[in-house]
Amino acid sequence: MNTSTPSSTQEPSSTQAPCAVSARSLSKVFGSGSNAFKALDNVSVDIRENEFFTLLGPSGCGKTTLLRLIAGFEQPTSGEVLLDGEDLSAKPPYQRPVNTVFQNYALFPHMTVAENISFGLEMLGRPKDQIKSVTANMLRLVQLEAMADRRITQISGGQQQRVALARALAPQPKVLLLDEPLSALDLQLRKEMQLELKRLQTDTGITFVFVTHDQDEALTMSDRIAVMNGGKILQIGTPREIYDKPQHRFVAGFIGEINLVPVEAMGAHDYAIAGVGSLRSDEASVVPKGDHAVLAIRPERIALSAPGPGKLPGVVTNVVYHGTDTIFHIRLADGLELRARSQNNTARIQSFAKGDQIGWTVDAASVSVLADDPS
Amino acid sequence: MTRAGKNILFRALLIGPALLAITVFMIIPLGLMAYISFRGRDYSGGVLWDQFTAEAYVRLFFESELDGTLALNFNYMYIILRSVWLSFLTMVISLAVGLPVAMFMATRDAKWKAVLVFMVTLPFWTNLLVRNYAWILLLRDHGIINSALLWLGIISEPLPLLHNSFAVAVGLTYSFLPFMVLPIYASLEKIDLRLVEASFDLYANRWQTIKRVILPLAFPGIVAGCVLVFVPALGAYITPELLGGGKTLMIGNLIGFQFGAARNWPFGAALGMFLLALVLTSLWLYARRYRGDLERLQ
Amino acid sequence: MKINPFRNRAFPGDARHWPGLFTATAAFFAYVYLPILILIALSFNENRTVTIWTGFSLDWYRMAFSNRDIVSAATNSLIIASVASVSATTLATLAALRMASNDRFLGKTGINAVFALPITVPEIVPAVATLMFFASLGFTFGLGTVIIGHIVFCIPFAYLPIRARLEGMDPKIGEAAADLYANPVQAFWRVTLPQLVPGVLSGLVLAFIISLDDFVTTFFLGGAGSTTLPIYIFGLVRTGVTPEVNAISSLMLLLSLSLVSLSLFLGRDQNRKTGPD
Repeated sequence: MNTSTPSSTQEPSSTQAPCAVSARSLSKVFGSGSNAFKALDNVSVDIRENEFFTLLGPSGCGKTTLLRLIAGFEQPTSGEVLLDGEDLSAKPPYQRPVNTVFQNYALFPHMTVAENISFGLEMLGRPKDQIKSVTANMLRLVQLEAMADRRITQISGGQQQRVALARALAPQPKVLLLDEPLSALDLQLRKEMQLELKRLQTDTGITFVFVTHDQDEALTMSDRIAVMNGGKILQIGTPREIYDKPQHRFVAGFIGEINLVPVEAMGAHDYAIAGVGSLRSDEASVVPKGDHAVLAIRPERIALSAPGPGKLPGVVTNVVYHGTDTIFHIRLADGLELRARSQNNTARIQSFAKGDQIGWTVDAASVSVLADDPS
Repeated sequence: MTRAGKNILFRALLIGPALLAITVFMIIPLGLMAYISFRGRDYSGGVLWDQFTAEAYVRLFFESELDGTLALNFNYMYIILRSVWLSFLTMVISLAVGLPVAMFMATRDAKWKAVLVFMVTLPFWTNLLVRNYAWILLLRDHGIINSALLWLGIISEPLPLLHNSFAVAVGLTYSFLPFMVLPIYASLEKIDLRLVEASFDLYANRWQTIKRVILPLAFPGIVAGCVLVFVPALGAYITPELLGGGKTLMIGNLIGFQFGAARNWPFGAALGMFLLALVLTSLWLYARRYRGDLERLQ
Repeated sequence: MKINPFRNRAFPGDARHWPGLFTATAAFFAYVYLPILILIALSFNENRTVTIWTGFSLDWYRMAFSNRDIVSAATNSLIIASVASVSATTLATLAALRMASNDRFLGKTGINAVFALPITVPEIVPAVATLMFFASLGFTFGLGTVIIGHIVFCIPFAYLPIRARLEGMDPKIGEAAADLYANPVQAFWRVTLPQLVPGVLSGLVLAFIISLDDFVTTFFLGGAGSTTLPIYIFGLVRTGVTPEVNAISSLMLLLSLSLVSLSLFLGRDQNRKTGPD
């Protein structure tokens, strides 16, 4: 059974690419006494070089705090932040080769676009001609050459966002931190920028650590995702792993839609749904026979057909049309309902109506086994 | 030095000088004034440093008869009461005038609001002396108002408009009216006009809306405005001096007098402490009840 | 109360058009500005008897400018105002820099109260208290004592707006500067200070005006040779109304008005966030 302690969600780092940034047993407490708030609770993670790594979770889960600890704007209560294996805790932000794109951009209001972009290089004392050429490159990279001498109060929100990006990339940091940089943009612009950011990361090869609460965004852009809640990292994996094989109830529910079915273990891979039937899962976990567990099944993995042998029974209670697909609400037993999603593909019309008896199956590979505890 | 120690030194260097300036040149003198108020008066009006006595305070209310007994002296009490009364009157008039003006301002659109606020603020920054002087021009026997009334035939002799309580009241109102308008405006401005509309939608008439919806929401601003008019009016010096003509004294002039012709420093100090007490009490009462509102107002 | 929904083309619930508001406001502004305007108008009156208009004349202004006492008083006013406002603004800025942060420390509320003190108490009280203080120390009363008194009440006028401006600044901008390799000194110099300068200048001009216009403190802390324009005007008014007083008074008014406009312009909100999309 995968009870998700932070360390068990790690793949052993010695077999992977070198680590750009690591957190080791990082904790952060704000306030004291009865007002104490634990923003991060013993968090450890290894972020690899050249990776687009996303911290995903709801408000208050600690993702921004973790980011700020890496940047150096906060000091950890305990634990350490490592860059290329070196402990950063003693270093203030201006000595860390890490740059941040802020949520509200935090551009310098009294400077032009070009001056904002070249600021980091100036502070690093780079020679003037280098500053000039890098700034020009950055402007080209974010397609703002025409705006170079504009004051930042004169450009639009989307353009400001790109200036913030260019400003953070100009000094070529080892790691780029992005704190929900797209949240202020409208939908269309946001989708464009998502692709843009992904392309930038692949082109520059800089490690991106991206914070968001939008699970679509995370799935679209990331190489790996860390799902966080309540100051802990619950699961780390590729988008596919997180989606197909959630190891934690919260992770299952936070990303996409999920069916959570209470079952009793009947042996190595079989699980019984009381009064309905049994399902197989090909997960390698071991649940002692007789123990209770929860199966996590994605709606689109449920195959619906007429009732028959080898299929589990159910009754359609509601049919909701969604344009691209249709959602069927299926009642299995008292108080036990499933949602199944079926694409409205004219080649395989599945027309079930309210009240129909149907049969359903799920592929063993699409069944995840979770602990029964409510967390 | 420890990091905490460096922090404190840094803080002291930055805040220290300004703090020191005010402490040394205002707080300490005020303390000295408290001390002097309990000293005796020497023959030339200065301070008898080694004599501890409360005679300055006694003098506020009593005077010594020739036979050494004390008799109630209303002169000074009269001045004090007049000051309180005039300040109160000023506050009430300012409120009556200021409330509709603030209401008007708060219901304009953004561009007009900015212009109006500017126009209300502007007089505050001009010279108080000059503004009071302008009223001398208006109020004197051969001033603008009397000349106009005479010319129109409404009166046959000039009205005594200057050098009396009337003139002082006019002057005080004129000096401090903007201080009433701005806080009330700040409060009213935050009120969503749709609340007023909702009130009408629920069958209230205008007066009921004012009483039950607008006034309660504007109350913090009103109280702030009242304090901002009452307190400076109480301690006014220029207005009673110019427009009162030596016959309508307020506490401020009385104090100043002790350092001029009357030459009685301990008495002046006692009066000063008295005024200070009045002011600080008013402010403390206000802060105690409305401190939260004051912070929100800012 | 009868409700006519078409009066003023607005409905009674529309508080924008309630009767009396516009009249009250118009009367208010007339009341506030007429005396000033009349004063200024009369300063151009050719007639010596101030209230009878005979013609337009700049005579009184010319007399004012050539009057040696007036020029000397004006010079004193400018010297005092310059020294006091620059000193007060410097002290206030330093203090505001430390006080405007979010961290609490011991006595912070108390310190803020001290900084607000000079404008909360009526001016006569600290004026005479400081008089007694200086006298007991044996100071000679003159420009120096006046300047010290002015610095004390100018500090709050500079401190409060500067602190407000600092607190309004986006703290993330400071973080961004540090993130981009600026050490605290560089961050202050390149990022904080340039944002602060308009606010500091605005506070400086305000302190200057307040000092220029002051009467009470100057009167009690002054000595021979420290006559300022307000003191001079006061003296003249005491002895009677003369046209020169009108001229100087008008000049002072116009000076204050221009400086206030300048201060407000400098301190205007520069936070307009974005341009057109």
